[in-house]
Amino acid sequence: MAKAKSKSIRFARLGVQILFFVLIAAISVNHTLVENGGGFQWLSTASLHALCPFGGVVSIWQVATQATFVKKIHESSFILMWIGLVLALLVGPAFCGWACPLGSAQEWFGKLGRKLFGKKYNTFVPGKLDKALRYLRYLVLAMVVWNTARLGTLVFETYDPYFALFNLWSAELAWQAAAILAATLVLSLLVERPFCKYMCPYGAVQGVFNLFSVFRIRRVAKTCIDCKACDRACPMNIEVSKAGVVRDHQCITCMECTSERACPVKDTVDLVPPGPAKPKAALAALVLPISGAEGKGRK
Amino acid sequence: MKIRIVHLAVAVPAIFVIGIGASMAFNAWNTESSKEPAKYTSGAFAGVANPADIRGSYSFADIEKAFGVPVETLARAFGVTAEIAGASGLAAYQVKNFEAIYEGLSETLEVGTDSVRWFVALYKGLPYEPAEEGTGLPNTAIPVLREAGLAADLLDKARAKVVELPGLANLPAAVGTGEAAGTGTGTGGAETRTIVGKTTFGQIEDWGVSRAKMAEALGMEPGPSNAVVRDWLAEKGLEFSEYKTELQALVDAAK
Ligand code: SF4
Repeated sequence: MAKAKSKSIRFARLGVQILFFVLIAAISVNHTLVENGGGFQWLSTASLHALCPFGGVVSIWQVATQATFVKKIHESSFILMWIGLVLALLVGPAFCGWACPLGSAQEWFGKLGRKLFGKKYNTFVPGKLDKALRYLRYLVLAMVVWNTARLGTLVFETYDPYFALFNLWSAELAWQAAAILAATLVLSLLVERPFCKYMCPYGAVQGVFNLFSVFRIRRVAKTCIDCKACDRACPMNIEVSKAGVVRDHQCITCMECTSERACPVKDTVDLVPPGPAKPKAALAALVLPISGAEGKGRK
Repeated sequence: MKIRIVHLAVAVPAIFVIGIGASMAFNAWNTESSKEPAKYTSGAFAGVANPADIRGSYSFADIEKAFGVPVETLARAFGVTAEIAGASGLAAYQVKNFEAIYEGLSETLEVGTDSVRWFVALYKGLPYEPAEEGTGLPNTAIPVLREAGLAADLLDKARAKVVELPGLANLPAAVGTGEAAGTGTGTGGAETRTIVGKTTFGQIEDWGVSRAKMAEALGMEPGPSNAVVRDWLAEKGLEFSEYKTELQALVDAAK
């Protein structure tokens, strides 16, 4: 059963993360270049606000009550919000695990933290405190949505580390956002994705979809050997080994726990639709041709 | 059926590409606000583009298109040379740059977006009262307005708010770097409690003025808290400048 997992599987998510990160960085630089008389016409010149799905979320109230967008938000933010919601409805917060550049940046800093602290990495926050802190992001979400609706301005911009990450060179950078970004990256050396876990208001929106997304992570208890490899792999510290179905509000659909990645037993931890586990033969018939790189063994 | 990593690796970018592509096909993918200004809703100028709606993101070309003021005239009036405009040229020069390049020229007056609104209104003979007490015009705008045949009383009014520009060679050519370009949200800690063109009713409330007090000053119920005061009044055919002083007095009293 044990076999080295395919390299393409290992790098598939990283590739998508790099794609989104580079694209957003390039557009953001191009936006500044165009404002300064340079830039590339073949590349989008949109501002970061126009490319942020959370901008759509915070504008909902203003659009509903006044039929106008919050300043600096445009139709594109709304479209991205809908794309994010469709994705979340289908497979949970894949936006967080696969596309969000700030999540990726934290993850990459975390790799360094893992090198520095080894097995201790991502275990520094005491369990009870960690559990309570994870509800903070809903408070952040409520405050941001409420104040944006009340004031009609993009209040989160001043504190947004995602905006800061791609505006380090811009006059629009607020020191508060820069400080939160610096703290996030430093904390990423100790804790995996600290901003996603404790503070991200968009992560809060996406996280709720874990409760009813069509596909979700399922562990087959019958074949599980209880090695806890899935628990160790999970960046969000979810105890997959204790779950039948992962409906944790913090899952980011990164698939690190699955039988294609951490789990050493085939067809034991997978992203599947609702319903009981299917017999192997039926499963094989359903597998699409592009899934040839199936993982069969230990990493 | 199960979703594999490779499926998601394809599906996540694909959903974005399909979603954005479809919205582009239906002309719904806008990443900028439209550069079509709001129009006067009542009076002799009903239906004419209102300079009050000029925003910092407008370029000289956008203003020429919307109001018919030539790019060269705007550049001359605001002392913008090809050297200052840089590689993008005069046509693409954005109004929001003024707040950065003309910052600190006067203790009491400021050349910024509101100056452009006022200049365009004067040049085109349209009604507009500067939204801010400190709105100034560069000295280079006066001869342009005189040549355009501006009435003597209005010219005097403009002269009273003139800001002397330094030698053009001393102006920074780079824009959008260094000092704030006036595009912040105004929600930071160092916020000044001054009612400007983009202030919302909610911000005034936040500064300690109750809605009842605002109602007294306005003579009617104030707009929703997320509405921009200037835009809300304009929609009702009312002049922002008429109400601004009273609202500002309430804010000052609440400090
Ligand atoms: S490792 Fe599994 S349980 Fe943990 S976040 Fe990723 S998909 Fe969710």
